[in-house]
Amino acid sequence: MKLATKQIGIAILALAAIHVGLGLLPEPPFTIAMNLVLFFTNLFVFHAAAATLAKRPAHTVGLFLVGYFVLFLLVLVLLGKTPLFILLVVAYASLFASPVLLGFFAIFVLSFVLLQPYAFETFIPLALIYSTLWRVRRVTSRFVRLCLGGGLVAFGIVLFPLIHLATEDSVQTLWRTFIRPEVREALWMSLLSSTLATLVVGLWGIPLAYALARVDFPGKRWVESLVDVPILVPQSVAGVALIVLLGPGSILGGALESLHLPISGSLIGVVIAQVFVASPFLIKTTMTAFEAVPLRLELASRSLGASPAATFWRISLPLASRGILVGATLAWARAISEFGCIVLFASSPVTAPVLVHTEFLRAGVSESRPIAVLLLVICLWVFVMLQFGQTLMPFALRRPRGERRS
Amino acid sequence: MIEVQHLGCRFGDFALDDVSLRIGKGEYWVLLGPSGCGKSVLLQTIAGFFPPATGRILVDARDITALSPEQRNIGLVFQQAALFPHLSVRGNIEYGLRARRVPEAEARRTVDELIDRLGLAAVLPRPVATLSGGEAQRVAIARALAVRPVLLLLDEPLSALDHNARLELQAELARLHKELDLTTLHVTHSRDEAAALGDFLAVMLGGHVVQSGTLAQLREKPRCPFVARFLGLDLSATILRPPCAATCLDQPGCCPCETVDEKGEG
Repeated sequence: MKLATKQIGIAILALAAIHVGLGLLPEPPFTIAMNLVLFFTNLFVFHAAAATLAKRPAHTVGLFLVGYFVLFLLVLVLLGKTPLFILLVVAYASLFASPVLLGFFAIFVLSFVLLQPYAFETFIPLALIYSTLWRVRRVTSRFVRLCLGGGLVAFGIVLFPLIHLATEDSVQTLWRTFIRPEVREALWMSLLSSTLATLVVGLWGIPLAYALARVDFPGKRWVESLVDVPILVPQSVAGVALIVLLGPGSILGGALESLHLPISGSLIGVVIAQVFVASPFLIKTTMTAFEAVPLRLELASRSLGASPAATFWRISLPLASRGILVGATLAWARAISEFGCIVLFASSPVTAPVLVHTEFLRAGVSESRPIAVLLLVICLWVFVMLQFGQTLMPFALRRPRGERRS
Repeated sequence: MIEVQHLGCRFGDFALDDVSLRIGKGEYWVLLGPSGCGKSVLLQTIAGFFPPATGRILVDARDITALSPEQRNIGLVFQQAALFPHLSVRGNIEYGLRARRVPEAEARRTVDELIDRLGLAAVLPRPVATLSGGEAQRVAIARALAVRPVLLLLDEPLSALDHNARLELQAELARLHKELDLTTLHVTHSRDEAAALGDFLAVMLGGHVVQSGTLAQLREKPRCPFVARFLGLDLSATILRPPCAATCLDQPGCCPCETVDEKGEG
């Protein structure tokens, strides 16, 4: 819409009338100076709107007014922060021309005004989600964008406790916690034991996965289901089962102890518990990775004179390495996060999750929180590193050009 | 000399039934047959991937039936080149030599010679995944030849290629065969390929070899309507022999013909 000089004059007069009216109320909501500032702010908003909305369809004018009114209600009426309102409204009017900036502005207002106590931990994820949606807006349908946006926001809500936790403690507190010897020892124990457990699982899990991917035998489906059993067994049940077999009073545990190989209450015990819970993740993922290696590559290798073992080392293992690394990452993550089984079966070399628990029981949330944050940060750091490391593996299987599906 | 004697096996839907072939040194045999007739199973049995239930495979009078694929020294080229995607072109070609621990200098000489012979110098620096079908198949052939196999098995090597690449590679195969005196068994369902390449033909149906011999012999005296039709002959000119009714044509796999070896002994 194009405004004529006459219409502009009328609008300015109407604005002035509103502000004069506000000033003449028996109990004016603003001082005269503030009222004047607001009047000029509104003049600016009107000017900016007239400029940006000049060539837009009529319904955008409605949208603009709705946005203004929401800000007005939210900041001025609800929160009563006049200077903030002036700032936001000026920003709003200036940004309205650019939808992408307007979106970020809306998220900013939502996080820093409405959800002020959680400003950072809401603003950053929401801004990331919004920019993702903005980036894919041309290549996806509105339905897919809705699924993506809704799903990501819901997922963010699920992860919110962790995001919030990570922003709770100052760096100083974290450092003070980190230099406590028992904390460092527990973190070290966690990293060491879960790495050992992943290696142990890999040592027998990779050959098993390879065999399962290559051989068919009666009962194979049962074996595949059995591999998953540790996922469904509650952690406490696993702990009790290990105690019954290997605990101090048991036959096997006693025998091993007499050989100076104490299981329960040693690093070996922790690793055994972690191997138990982590194995399915590595085996299942590795199996899928081996299944993706075309059988004819192995046949070609054999016909060229490589033995089955050489074929495994030179062809199958390298081509499956990316999937195996993904599986190892998952197994490692599962091992380091294990608590229930370890606390029952092998609580004495204290791992970090166990320490979080005992500190919580001893001194409450304030003492255990920094340890939890440290564990969270270290785990995430290693996890992200492994995820990136996996993309460095050069062996993406691609179908050579010119090939047809047979 | 490769002899396949009374080979029989069953693998899923595919079966071989008393297959016998005699491939002399330096001969180019084409195994012709419709899809699902057991050609590929026969190749893979000769290569050693399926143990046959009956029969023997002899290489120069030595029985290799019980040997594993890597001990047979039989080269195999698939329809899809099946190059190792994580290795370079050179890495693919020298794979067999490395697996056999051939000394570095000798391996390099062999690979360089094959690269030269197959004109692969231009594709050497390219990642394997970016090769065209024809280029990939050339590399696969070089890879199979690097270990000097006693027998080269080609499993429909041309059927995944476009027309021009097929003609080029066909000429290349004929040239290689002449230059290197290769003993070759080439499986295909295209009679054009068979006519262009094969010294000798074996026509397969339903898991057994219906007729084998030179192309001229088969054209002159096709054993049954199936063979005649598969060779593109005029059916009306063919004499129908009693048990071999026209049903062969309608129901592939039921041909009751006995295997005959027109080529005779030796």
